[in-house]
Amino acid sequence: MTTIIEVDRLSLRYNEVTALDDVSFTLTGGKIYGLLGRNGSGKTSLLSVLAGYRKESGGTVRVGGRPVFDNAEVTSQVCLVRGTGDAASSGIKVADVLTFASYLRESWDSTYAAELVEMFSLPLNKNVGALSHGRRSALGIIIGLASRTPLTMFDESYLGLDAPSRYKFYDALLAEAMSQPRTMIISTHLIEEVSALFEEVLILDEGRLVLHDEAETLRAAGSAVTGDAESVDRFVAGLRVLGEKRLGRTKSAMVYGELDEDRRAEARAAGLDLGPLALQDLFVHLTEPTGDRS
Amino acid sequence: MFDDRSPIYRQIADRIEADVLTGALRGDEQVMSTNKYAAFHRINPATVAKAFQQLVDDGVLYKKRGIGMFVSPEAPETLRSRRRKTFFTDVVDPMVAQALAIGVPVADLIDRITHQANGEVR
Amino acid sequence: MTTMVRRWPLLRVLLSAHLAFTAMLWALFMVVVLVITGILAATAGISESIQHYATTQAPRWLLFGLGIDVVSTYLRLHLAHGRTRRNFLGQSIGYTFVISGFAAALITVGYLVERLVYAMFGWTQRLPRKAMFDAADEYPMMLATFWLTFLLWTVAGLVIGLGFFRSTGLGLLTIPVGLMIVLPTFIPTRDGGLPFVGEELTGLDVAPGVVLAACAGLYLLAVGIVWAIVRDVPMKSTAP
Repeated sequence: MTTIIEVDRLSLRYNEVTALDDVSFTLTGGKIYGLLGRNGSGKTSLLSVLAGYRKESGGTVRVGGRPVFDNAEVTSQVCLVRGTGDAASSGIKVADVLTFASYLRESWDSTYAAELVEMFSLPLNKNVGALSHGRRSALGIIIGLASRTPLTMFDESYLGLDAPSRYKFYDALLAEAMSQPRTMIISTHLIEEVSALFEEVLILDEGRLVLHDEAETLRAAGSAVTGDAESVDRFVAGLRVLGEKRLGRTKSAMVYGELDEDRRAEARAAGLDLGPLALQDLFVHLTEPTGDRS
Repeated sequence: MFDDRSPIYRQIADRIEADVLTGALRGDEQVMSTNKYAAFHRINPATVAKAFQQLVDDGVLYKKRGIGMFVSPEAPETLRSRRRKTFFTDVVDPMVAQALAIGVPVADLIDRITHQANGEVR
Repeated sequence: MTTMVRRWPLLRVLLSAHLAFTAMLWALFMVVVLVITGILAATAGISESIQHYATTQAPRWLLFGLGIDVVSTYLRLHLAHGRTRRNFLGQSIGYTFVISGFAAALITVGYLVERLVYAMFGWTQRLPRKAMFDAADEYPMMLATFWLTFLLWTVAGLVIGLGFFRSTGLGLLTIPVGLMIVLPTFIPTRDGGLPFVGEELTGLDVAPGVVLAACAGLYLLAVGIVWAIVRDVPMKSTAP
């Protein structure tokens, strides 16, 4: 069952802060989505609204055509894992966390949960509060995966894991994506490791949606134009410039937008070097205040 | 193995084409399934599927329903002839331009090419 | 049982967490009371129910604590697993009745145990203070008194727990509200236990029907407050 997510002019304000500002997008579902943004950009807020943890201040949020907040039909199909997990309170044992999950979450898969506990070597009899940061993150991930909800979201929940555990997480994520039609949204500010997993990417900056496109399109979308400063300036006039670096007479400008053959020939003729721009760089420059945005 | 600086599906397709050209993948040989490939390289399966579809469209791979993806028997020759078409513009011309730019005499260039082709290298 | 899980999952969670704990604490309570009884028997002699001093003061704080725990530990769990705030209201109401009834039953059994022990030694189980039940063997009235008392203390815990869950400011405001909710319980148990507050009430001779009405009214008020706070309460992030 795929879930269509329709967000229209969503705003979220609390504590005199505008966490989300006029955000609109539609996700058709059944894919792995990347939600990129710096700390404080609104990623957690957006996911919290999608999960019904917070009520929107303005605009609408619909999942499968239905409003989200405190709506059992929707929220029973949604699982959000934030940080070390809200479904794992410090006062209870790991084994109890899993038992309670099986009571409260109808789609919970106990067998799968047990396999994941083995895989991440979690001690069942320890109190959640006594677990290390890494193990608590692992528990959160297990809850997200074993909930088997059609819409599952991970808010930087893998950040506490060590590298081998992170790779186990990616493998489990992919295995799930291939065996059932789940919509997964992964939020992160560390792109390099995870970006190959994404099919579509959304970029948030200061509460606004800056970009929403297919990951493969974004990988072809940026170029670094390097050469003599004047020539670079002439070439990039009229293009969307994300940022610049300067060293003496040499300048490197990061440009957004695919350059066709004519443009590429023009660059060659001007003695400019055209290099690819990694998604990571695109992200950094789309969310960085620059002095010279055209 | 695959980086973020250009579309991954293109990188996958290039890699498979390279394997076909070197003979690592032969005609009618089965290629890893989309899901296995995705899991192995930790890439989104849709991206892998896109790469395979591109290769099918280009005649490099073909699909046997219910079994999997196979290298077209004509693929090696197809790829070679495609490379032959762009060889002069993509490889030779830039080489000549560079040789001229750094002052390598054309005669030396021709000499070297002839000797390379005959299996003798100075 | 499976229907119960589907329809009352939070209740099942809460009971599996709290019932055993409550029973254990009661067993401990009984042991302590019996030890003290033993000591007094050896020194001063027994002429009245010793546990009555304690039962009207200590246990209600456990129920209060359990009410707080429902919010501080389990509300997050409930929402994190995709259940609604509305569902939480219904199930926590059910919980307050079950847990307070269970605790009240245990306390009543405690009086029965004391009676049996006293009978063995020929002591009288006289009540040192009159409560809403006049004698230590008026079990129905005793059960009702304790059930009602614990009910209000549990729901007061819920209210204050929710206040603090929403914000510290609101939490502080709910403290006097919680106090107001448990006020009528001082009448049936004829015991102050809290400075300033209880003294005036313990002296009041009010008909049981009036007390029941007051308790019912305040319980409903508490439920209204619980709903007012929880209906759109945001679940804020915990750790950074």
